[in-house]
Amino acid sequence: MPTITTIDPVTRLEGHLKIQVTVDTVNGVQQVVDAKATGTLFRGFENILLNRHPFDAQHITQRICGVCPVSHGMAAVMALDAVCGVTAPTNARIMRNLVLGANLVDSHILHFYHLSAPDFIDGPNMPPWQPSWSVDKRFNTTQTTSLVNNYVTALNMRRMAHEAGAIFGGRLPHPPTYIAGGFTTRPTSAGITKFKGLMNQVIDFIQNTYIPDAQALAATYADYNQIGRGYGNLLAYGCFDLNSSGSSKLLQRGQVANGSTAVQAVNLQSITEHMTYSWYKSPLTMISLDEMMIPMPVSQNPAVAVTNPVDPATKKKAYSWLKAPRYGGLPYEAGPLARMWVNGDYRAGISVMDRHLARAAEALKVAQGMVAWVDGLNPSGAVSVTANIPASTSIPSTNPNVPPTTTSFSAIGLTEAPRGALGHWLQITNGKISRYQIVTPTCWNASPRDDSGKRGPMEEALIGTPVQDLQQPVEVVRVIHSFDPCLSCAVHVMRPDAGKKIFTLAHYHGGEELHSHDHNHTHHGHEHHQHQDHDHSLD
Amino acid sequence: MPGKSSPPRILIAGLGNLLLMDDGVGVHAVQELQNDPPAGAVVAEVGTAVLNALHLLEWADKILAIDAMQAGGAPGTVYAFGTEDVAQGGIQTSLHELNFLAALDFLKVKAQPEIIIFGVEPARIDYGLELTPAVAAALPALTAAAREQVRRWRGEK
Repeated sequence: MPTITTIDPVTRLEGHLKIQVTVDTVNGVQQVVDAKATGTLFRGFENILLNRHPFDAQHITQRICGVCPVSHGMAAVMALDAVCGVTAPTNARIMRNLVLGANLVDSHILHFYHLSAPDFIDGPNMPPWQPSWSVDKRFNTTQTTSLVNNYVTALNMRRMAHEAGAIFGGRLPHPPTYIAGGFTTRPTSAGITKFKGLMNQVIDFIQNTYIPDAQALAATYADYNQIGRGYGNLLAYGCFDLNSSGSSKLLQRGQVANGSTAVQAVNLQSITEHMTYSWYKSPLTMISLDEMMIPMPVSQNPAVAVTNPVDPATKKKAYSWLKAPRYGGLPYEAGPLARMWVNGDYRAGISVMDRHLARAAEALKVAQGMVAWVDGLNPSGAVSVTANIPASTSIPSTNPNVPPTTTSFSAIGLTEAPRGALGHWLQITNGKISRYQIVTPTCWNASPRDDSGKRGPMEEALIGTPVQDLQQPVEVVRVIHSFDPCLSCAVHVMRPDAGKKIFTLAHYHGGEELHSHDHNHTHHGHEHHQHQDHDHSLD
Repeated sequence: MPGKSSPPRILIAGLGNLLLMDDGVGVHAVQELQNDPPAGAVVAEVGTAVLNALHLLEWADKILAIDAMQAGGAPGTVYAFGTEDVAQGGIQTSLHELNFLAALDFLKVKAQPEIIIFGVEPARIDYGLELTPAVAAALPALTAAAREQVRRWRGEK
């Protein structure tokens, strides 16, 4: 008799991803036989961009996501460069890469030590290690102590990576320095020297601590080299342009089907969004079947896709606020493993541990790239060129009853967030943003079923995962976390604890005793956040 | 950690999502403060990127966090409280969400800073960049209180 277990939420990052797995015993092994990934909140951030000046895009989109704001800034300026027909100077290309790289390295270290390790390590009796599940902790005391110590060191390494990024990015976490046509800061010799000093320490940590720890994890949990494969379809937009045209990148663009080593080109027209299982109105087309015309859902390219949310009660089949992006009609996994596989840097396998190992190897590759690129900066060179939004023209209609049409300009900004391929589809009309669509890596990975009923990549990766203890399905969580899913936080409102004292500032005068208000919100007693029913962004 | 004679390392952190109207009140407040930063404090727009601000949280030994706070008062009401008074999530398994308070748990492995939170009762949380009038009207008192808190921490009071 299958049992359905729901795990909610499964991201340690803010936001909600709910996974429902059906567990049954097949051939004597209790395992996952079905899975549904639900993005629980509607994301409507793109609508804020409509009718705004296009140059607002990099500032606004950076605020969508609290985890990889830099990647959104990068995608936005790439789209803007393209639509304005400008090429950023070498200094700008390099500094954009350095700040993006710092964010990626920072994020990978965070993912391993601070978000994934607690699934495997029996940590000290304090948050964030406790409370935790008690099952399947395989490291001995010496190994555990070492990993917990490295966890603390990793905090310091993240700080260094972050500081390195801030040398050029200015204010982080939301660098204001990414602009259409270039970058706003000017490199200095002192900054270059400081940057190398910081990154060399981070490289040392990745080489001598992070990678060995990831290898130890893969050796101790060797069964996870077989668990969590999924379809094996991998997609990378690529990033870190090494020349001004972007034809050469540190991490190349490409895609492979079913774990093949034959890398294929990415045709952007092959990307479509399916909505049959999502709470959006699916566009329909009439097809002829046995001489009857029947409506069939059609998927759309992000350049033309519409987002019309529906009341979930009216679309029973659907179960997610995520659309299902597909490449050539098939589910594709995005992320460090996809990038490193496409690049030919990592092809040991596709599994939970392969995702961790590829992520660690990528952190090193990118960090080493960064210390090499920084030498290409020229403190006296240009950092930006003027970018102008193309002007729309009005084309009169030959039919007096039809109003004139206005020309629009479209462009796509493709880059990589730490957790996978990120795309911004931009359209400008009359100098204003007339369309903005963002397809995030977690949309690829955590997507629901598509029009043909195929599961999303993460759903598929869960199938066959053994589950020892239904009350503590840690195996399921390990598979999900290997994708580094991020459902970025949106609403952040704090709530008073039940019966706790909160002071209003009206009574808050220096040194005086404060008045208190007792609150007893028992129905909310265990929420830190309020999540409204209508907002969400996925990264 | 500086000795007793060193001035405290003070961080003012604006939390919340700028794209969700009143949820962004903490960000609006720090943007105001950044126009004339209080002496002796680092004023940072943390927004929702709490994880990217761990280095700042770790650096500081006094943190004033400003965020939206639903406590049942009239919109624009400003509250002051400590972390112990905020509802902690029922941490299920090892799967807690990493918000500001959880981020501070990370730091518990190291030293724990002193934290005061100023919360503002929101009127509306929906897609949009502007604050509602009730919450916007609270900004002057909010930023003045933040400056006062910095002065108090610096022993200037």
